[in-house]
Amino acid sequence: MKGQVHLMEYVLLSFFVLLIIVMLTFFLTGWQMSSIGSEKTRVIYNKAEFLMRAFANSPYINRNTYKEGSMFEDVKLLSITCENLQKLYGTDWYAEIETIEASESCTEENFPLCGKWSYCKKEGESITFELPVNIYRVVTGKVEPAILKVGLYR
Amino acid sequence: MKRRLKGQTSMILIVLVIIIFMAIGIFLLISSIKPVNEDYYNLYAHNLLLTVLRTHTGYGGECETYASTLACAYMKPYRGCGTSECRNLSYEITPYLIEKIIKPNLDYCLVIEPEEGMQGEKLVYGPRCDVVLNKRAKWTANEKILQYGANLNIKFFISEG
Amino acid sequence: MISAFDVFKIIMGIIISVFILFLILRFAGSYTEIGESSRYASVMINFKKAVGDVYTTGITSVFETKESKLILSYKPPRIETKVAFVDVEPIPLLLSPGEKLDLSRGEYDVSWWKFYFVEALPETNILFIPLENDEKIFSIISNITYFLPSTENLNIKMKIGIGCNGSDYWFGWERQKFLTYVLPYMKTLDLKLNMCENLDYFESKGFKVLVITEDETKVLNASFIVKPVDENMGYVFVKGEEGYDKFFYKNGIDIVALLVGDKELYDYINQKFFAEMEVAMDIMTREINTLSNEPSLRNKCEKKYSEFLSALDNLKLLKADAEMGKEKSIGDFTYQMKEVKKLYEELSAWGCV
Repeated sequence: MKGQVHLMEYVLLSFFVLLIIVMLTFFLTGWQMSSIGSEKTRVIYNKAEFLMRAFANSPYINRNTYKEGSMFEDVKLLSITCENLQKLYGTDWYAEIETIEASESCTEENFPLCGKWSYCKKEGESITFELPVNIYRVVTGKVEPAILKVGLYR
Repeated sequence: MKRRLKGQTSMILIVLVIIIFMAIGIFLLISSIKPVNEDYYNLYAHNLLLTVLRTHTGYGGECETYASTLACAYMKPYRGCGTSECRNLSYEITPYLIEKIIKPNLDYCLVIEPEEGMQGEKLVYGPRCDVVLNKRAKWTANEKILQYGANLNIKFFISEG
Repeated sequence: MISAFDVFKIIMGIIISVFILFLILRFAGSYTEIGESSRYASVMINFKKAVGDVYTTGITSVFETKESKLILSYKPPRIETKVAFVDVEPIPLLLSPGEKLDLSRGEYDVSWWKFYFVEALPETNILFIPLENDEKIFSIISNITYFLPSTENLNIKMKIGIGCNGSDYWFGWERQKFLTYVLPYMKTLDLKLNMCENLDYFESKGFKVLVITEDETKVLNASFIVKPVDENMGYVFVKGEEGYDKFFYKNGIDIVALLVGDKELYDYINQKFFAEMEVAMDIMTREINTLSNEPSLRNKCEKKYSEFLSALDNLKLLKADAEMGKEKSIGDFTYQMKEVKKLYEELSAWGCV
């Protein structure tokens, strides 16, 4: 009986040691997978941030003489389309610019008395970044503040 | 008795080892939590400052842009702009301009001072500057304004409210 | 005397130890591989971010992969690495693999349009051998150099020189000094350089040697020959396995793409160039039409707007031919690019844009 108890103790001990090793294996694998998951999130985040910077500094909408960027010409914002932006920077993202004084969406008819521009917006979850920018009014030469929102759809 | 205790000791050791591994796991998880995106907030601070400095105030003359208004407020504080004086105007328009743009969860502080090596006062703008300037976690943007033959340093700070 | 229980303990111990050892070795092996792959993947994610930062800000930087042969090859827009493929879209990238890379933004600026691209190049020595002393020759040298990275404040250098024989050999300047001082001085020397006697020596030392001549037939054994037709366009002859491959160029970017890469890179950068040009033309046409409807601008600028739009329409037609590789149209295309640029600059000077 005593011998059997010893044996069982020993077997139980071995079982628990093996259990610990198996748990360790699972734990390390799980950690590796979550690390890969967070790298994936980092890639998506980087892409969203890149799109924001690329749009803010895009020579297609910025006024030439402002090398620092973020000085958008209102006529260029009216002239560029979602299709143009997708050819330049890819798909599955959107951009919106709005001046701080509440205003209408810009069209050929109400230009330049408008202050809202929107490109490639659609329903869906997105990672969004906001950035303050300026709008240069080509007709009057005045500069206004606005907010740029760029979002990458998940 | 000794043998029973030996078995129990082994079990206790095993449990201890499991607890240690769990503690390591929690520590690793906590250390992998990313802090706030520094790059983005630095860019945000820089762009916010640049945007407001370049904005036209609507007053013309010495106060055509916000940058020129600040320069006037520092160098010629009693010069007239519209119905006001430069310095008073700068205090009026700063909150109007910045608070309309800045994210609601952020506080700001704007400081104007002469360039390095020069003596002079500091002008400070912002409703909670004492809080912002004392925060460890804040983001900064710097610009220079060259006006009236002198360089002014503009320091802009933002922090989470 | 050893008991049965002791024997059992020994045998059990051995079995369990072997099993545990086997598990650990298996896992350690694959974990090391996973760890290494994760590290390489992280380096490439950082590389892609660095390229994006250079593209958006224009600020030059140096990137070290800290791993030789991590980047195996570049088949644009995909970079082949030890672990995976990395796509660099939408950034037009000229990449030459290396452990330490200079990242800089190149700009092709014609006033009404700017084409940005990124160059990721290892340390390189460039040698020009102009065989004639001609305005066209020096113009293309200047054009090519303009699109090379500026490494003045970096610890990775792009050095440029002219000539290769004895006293006809000047080497060791970076881009800015070469363009500002060296090239104008060289023009005054009335150089009559001959073909390199020791071309193999320079090529074996890793120099990129460009022979610039209006008569490519007099050049033997050069790997890279540039033949300008006029100040803007001409041909590049690249030595292949069966003689020379001939390409036309319309600006310095085409030449740099062939110099640091191959036909695939040249085709890729051309495709990007023309695609973005089409977008720019589209936007510009709408912009001018909108402005010409503005009463405050119409009186002053109507005539200029219509001249500009007409020139832009001509350019669109020539672009289509140039894109298809119709060599006869390239000269007209490059001429028309200059015309459109001139008209836009006039619009700008008049306050019409």
